[in-house]
This record gives sequence, structure tokens and C-alpha cells, in this order.
Amino acid sequence: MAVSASTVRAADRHLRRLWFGLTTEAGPPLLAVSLAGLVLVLWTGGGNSVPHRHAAQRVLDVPAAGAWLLMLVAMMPPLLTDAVSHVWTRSLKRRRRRQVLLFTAGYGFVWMTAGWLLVSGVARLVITFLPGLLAAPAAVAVAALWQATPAKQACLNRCHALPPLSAFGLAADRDVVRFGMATGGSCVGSCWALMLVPSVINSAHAVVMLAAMAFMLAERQARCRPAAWRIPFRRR
Amino acid sequence: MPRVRRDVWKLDQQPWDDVLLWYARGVNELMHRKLVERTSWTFFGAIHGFDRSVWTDFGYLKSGDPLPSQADQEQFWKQCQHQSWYFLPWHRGYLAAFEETVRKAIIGLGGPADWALPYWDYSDSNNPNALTFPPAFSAPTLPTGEPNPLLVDRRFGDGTGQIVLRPDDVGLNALKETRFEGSTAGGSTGFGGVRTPFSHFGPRSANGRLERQPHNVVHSLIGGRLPDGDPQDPRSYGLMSMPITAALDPIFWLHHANIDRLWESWLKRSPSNVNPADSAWLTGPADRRFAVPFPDGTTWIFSAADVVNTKSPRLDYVYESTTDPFGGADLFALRAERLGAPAGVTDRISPEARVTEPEAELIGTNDETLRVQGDVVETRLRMDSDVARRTMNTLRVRPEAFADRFAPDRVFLNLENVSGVNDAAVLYVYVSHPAADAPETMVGAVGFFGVREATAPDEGHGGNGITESLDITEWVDQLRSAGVEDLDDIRVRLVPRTPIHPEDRISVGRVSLYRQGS
Repeated sequence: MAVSASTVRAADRHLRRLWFGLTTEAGPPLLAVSLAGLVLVLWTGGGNSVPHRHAAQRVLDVPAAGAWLLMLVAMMPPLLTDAVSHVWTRSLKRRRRRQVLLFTAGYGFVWMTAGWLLVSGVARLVITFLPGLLAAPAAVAVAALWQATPAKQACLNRCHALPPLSAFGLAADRDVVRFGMATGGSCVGSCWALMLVPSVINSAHAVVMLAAMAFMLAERQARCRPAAWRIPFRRR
Repeated sequence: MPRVRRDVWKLDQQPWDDVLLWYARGVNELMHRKLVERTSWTFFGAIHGFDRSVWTDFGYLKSGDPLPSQADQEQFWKQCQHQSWYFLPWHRGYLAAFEETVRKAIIGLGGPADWALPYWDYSDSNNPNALTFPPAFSAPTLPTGEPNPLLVDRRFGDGTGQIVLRPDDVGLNALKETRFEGSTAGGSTGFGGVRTPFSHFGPRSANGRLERQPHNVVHSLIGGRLPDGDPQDPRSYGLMSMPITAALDPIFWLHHANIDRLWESWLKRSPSNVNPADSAWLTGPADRRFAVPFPDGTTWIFSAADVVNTKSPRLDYVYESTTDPFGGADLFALRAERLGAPAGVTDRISPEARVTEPEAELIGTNDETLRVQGDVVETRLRMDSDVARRTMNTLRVRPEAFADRFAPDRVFLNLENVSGVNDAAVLYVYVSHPAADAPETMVGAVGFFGVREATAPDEGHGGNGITESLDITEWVDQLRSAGVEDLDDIRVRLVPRTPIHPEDRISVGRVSLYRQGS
């Protein structure tokens, strides 16, 4: 398929906006967290997040949860530059670190819960019932289908929300946890299907993860647009 | 010789000086060109903003009208830079291309080769007419009896049926700002706006000071809204109220010539007022280049570096007047005096020791979302007493402090997540403090130009609305010199300048106070 000049321009635009986002405000520290996460993923052997077919059917699979958490640490921080900058600048200085931690806790809680459902649920189903060779294409198909839906775009739009936050007392804690959970919810809605792909792939896991991450970042940098059925993986 | 852009109210003959008569003829010529032509009136309008359904409803896009090629639309359309440090340079290049296009049309019609776009200086307090809408734009016909192309139906004013601005609408406090680049962190948003990539609306948006006032306020007050129009329906709004249609009103270009002129005035009023030296501003934005068509068929790709000098070949103009509205006053010295320093003492302090650090810090907030439904809305701010005390302490004048450095905090009132569907709304913002005898003080006006788009969850702002930051340093200084030690219980009142209805869904998510200083 020939790549048109306009596609190249659009890709170039995305990359440059991405660079802008990663180099301003909360961008650099979050990028550092993400890089540390990536190193750990590689160091721990590519983050084999889904247990093999005959692994014990435990409700809480600690190694799998750990691998999932590492994957989140590696992939998600660059998506949160606006949200973290918002929490930081709109909180009292003496509470800034605490508020960012609470935001992260709310956000992480939603993603860990979603991860438990995805990894021990959907991904395990895919791996259990599909022959090994079909698991990856099936996950890609699910991701493509979800990408096409209006719900996906609605979630992606909501990822941009930066609500007013209370500054004092319990209300401040409540608001920022709620903001973290809301951002986590939109983020799960937007990215769950894309995260499924690296979850079911054991070989070249890190490469697939990086590719998914790059796509998610580009998508997050693009302008919001009306929720509608769309051709997946295409901006216009 | 650069051409001279003249004040519309200082032209020799009113209402129809030759400058305006030729402008009308040139505009008429452009209006007769088709949308697919890059030098047409509508093509220039779409460079600023375009919306198929609103343009169709307004009659600027008729069914069967061919659109320009996809490549042309991608390169030229929907470029207007708002809530961005590119606001001023982008509009300058845009105006230059438009002016050259109109001039070529005027020359073709036998008009003067040195024609230049006039500007409307509504803030000129020495001119009794300044606040009145230039009558050539509302006359039904030209002196020859032909229909007047400068008159548009969709110009509804402030709801009273006429367009007369008030001095409070067009205050020039923006020119007191000392930095071009600001930030979204709660302190100053800068004279020229905040650092952004290409910004045809973005999620964490704040207006630069000049952009907020007078720019936005004048847009909203000219465009206005039909008195009984449905607030939800874009068709109820005037062209100038909405970025997607603003440049279709011929007054747009005179308004923006004035904003562009104020940039020159700001640079001239103090040697420390300078444009950013950052290459991201000078040569950006990197993610999409600014491009405007010229009437010779060329495309001018430009960045801020190409427009900082108005006498450069592509621009080649000067303004009739770039007088400082503050008469050359040294605002830093005035501030020191206001805080009780002996006159003349600030002469000892070098310019570097005067600059306030740009880091901003929250002092306090209100605790509720404000809904503005038509009546005055009042809220109280609760302060973090430590931070407030620290701020007030920096305003304390100690004689020894003048030996090397005097950089008292600046204080800003933020209206966060301002949202709604009424682009024509304007609010006046007042502050008061119960301990001070002084009456409440107006600290600025907020125009809702572009707020509808900022409120839509599927547009560039992601539905967050806009955050406005108003400099209230002078007022806090007055509190301090009146002996007030704390900032507790500051009251903020939002007073509608235009009719506002509950269906406008206007709200302010949080009102907050920030300090800016080291």
C-alpha cells in the first residue's frame, strides 16, 4: 500500500506533538518513570504477563499481577503528563506530592482491577480456547474491533478531562482520588483492547508492548473528535 | 517606505474616507470570488476557522459549491492560534496576507497602491468616538448607493441592539505585563500567551493577557447573540462571537490590526518588554507550519521570526500611533511607591533584580462550582494562611531590601474551567475584602469567544473549558498599604455584562488565588 504524503505529514505532526508533550511540564519526570519501567520489564524477562495454559488457576496470581503492574509503569506515565501537571499546579504546594500519589493510587487501582479481569479473564480465555498460533491474531482482531467503536473514541476524549479540584482537607483527597479513578476508567476504556495484544503474546512481548505504547501515545496527543464508528487505526 | 495603518476614527472624512471606501470595494471584490479560490473572502475566513454545518446555515457554503482540494484544506484551513504564544505572530502573518490580497484587488479596481488596513483603537481615551462602532460598517449603502459589503446581518452587539463598548470592556492592563511568555500554572499567562504546540485549541488552555482583554471581550461584544435566539444553536450567534466564523465579518480585520498594534505598543513602552528568544517560538510550531496564500499565487510559510519586524518585505507597514497608554510610566517604580518605598529608590535596582520569578503557587480557592445564570454571582475564597502570609510579607517594604533586590510577589485570580455554550457572554470580575474600607474593585473582564468549542467534549479542549488568570497585584498592594495583613475572606463577584440565560450553562469550576514569586 502506498503511503500518501498526507499520511506522512500526519505521522510527522503526531511525533512532534508527542515530543512537545514529553518535554514540557510533568513530561520529563514521567518519561523517566516510564523508562525505568521499561528497563525492569526487559530485565525481568519481557514481562510474561499471562500464565500458561496449565498454570494453577489461582484467583490472585502474584507474578502475573507484578508483570501487569510493571507493564503499566512502563507504558502509562507518558499518557498522564497533562493530568499530573494539572494536579501539581492546582494543589497547594505543601500537598503536591501527596496529591500526585493519591491520583496515582486511584488511577492504578482501576488499571490493576481491569488487569485482573483482562489477564485472568479475557486473555486466559483466548489462550485456553484458541490454539497458540491463533491467540495473537484473535487479540489483534478484538483490538481492531474496539478501535472502530464510538465508545472507544468517547473514552479517549474523556482521557483529556482536567476537572476542578478542591484544595483543602478531605475534599482535596477525595477529588484527586476520584480524578485518578476517572482518568483510569477512561484510560482502561480507551486502551484495554490494545493492552490485550502484548498480554497474549509471549515471544517478542517487549517489542509488541512498545508498538502498542507508541500507538496509544500518538492517539492521546491527537485532538478530540466526535465519537463515531471509524476505520480502526486511522486518524481521518 | 512602509505603508501606514491608520486609526479608523482619525481618518479625514467620516464615515466614508477613501481608506474605507476602497476597503469596501476590495472586500466586495473578494466576496465575489469562489471558495475554491485561495484569495476569496470565504477562503480567508476558513483559514481562521471552518465548520461545514454552521457555514451552510449562514449561507457561506451553498449546496453544490465545490470545496478546495484536500491538500489546500489541510495546508491552509483551520489555523487560528488561540490560547497560545503563537496568537500574535500567527494573526500578524494572516493579516499581512489578507491586506496584500485586498490591496491587489483595490489596485485592480484603480485604487491607491499604498492602501493599508486601518485599525480601530477602541481604547483611545483621548478620542470621544473611540468606543463607538465605526459607522461605515453599519451603513446600509456606500455613498454611491450600492449595497455596503462592510455591513453584515450577523452582528448582534451586547443584546441592546447597538454596538457601543464601555471603557471597562477595553482596558489595557495587559500592556502592564512584563513577560511575553506565560504559563498555565496559575500565575501570569504572559502578554502574548502560553507555550503550546500548534494550537487550534488544546486541552490545558489559558488566554494570554492581551488575548483575554481586549481581544476576546471585543469579539464577544460585537458578534453578540440574537436577543431571543436559542442558546444551544450556533445560528443564534454573530459572526464575530465564534472562531469558526469571526473572520467573515469585515470588522474582524480592523479589530486584529488593533491587537497587532498593541503588540508594537507593548514592545515600545519598555526596553525590557521583549519577544521570546526561544527557537520553539521563533521557528515553530514544529508540528504544523503556518501557511497563508499570497495574491501572486505563492504560499508563504512563516513563523514568528518572519513577522517580528513589521517593516520586513512581506509585511511592510507601520502604525500611525503606537503610543504607550500609560504615558511611559515606570510601573515598577509606581509599585514600589504604592507599597511605601521612598520615591526614586528603585533607580538603584538593576533590571535583572526586578524580575519576579515565574513560579506560581496556589494560595487559596473557593469551594463550589459557580453557575452564572443571569444574576450576579458571589463567592468567597478560603486561604492557606501560611502561603498568604508569605505573600503579604514580600510586599512589606524594608529600606535595606532596596540595596540589591526588590521583587515582591504578584497575585493572580484564576477562574478555572470556565465553560458554557454562549460565546457572546462577557463577565466583569470584581474583588473585595471585608477588612479594607476600599470599595470593591473591578479587576478585569472575561469574554467567552471560543468557549463553546472549549466546552465540547469532542473538540480540541476535551471539554475542560478555559482557565482565565487575572492580575490583581495592584489591588493586593492597596490592601497591603491599607494595613491588611492577611488575604482571608476575599470576595469575588462575577457580574454579567451581557444577557445570560440558565440555558447558556455557564459555569466556573473553581475560583482560586495564586502567588507568583520566588
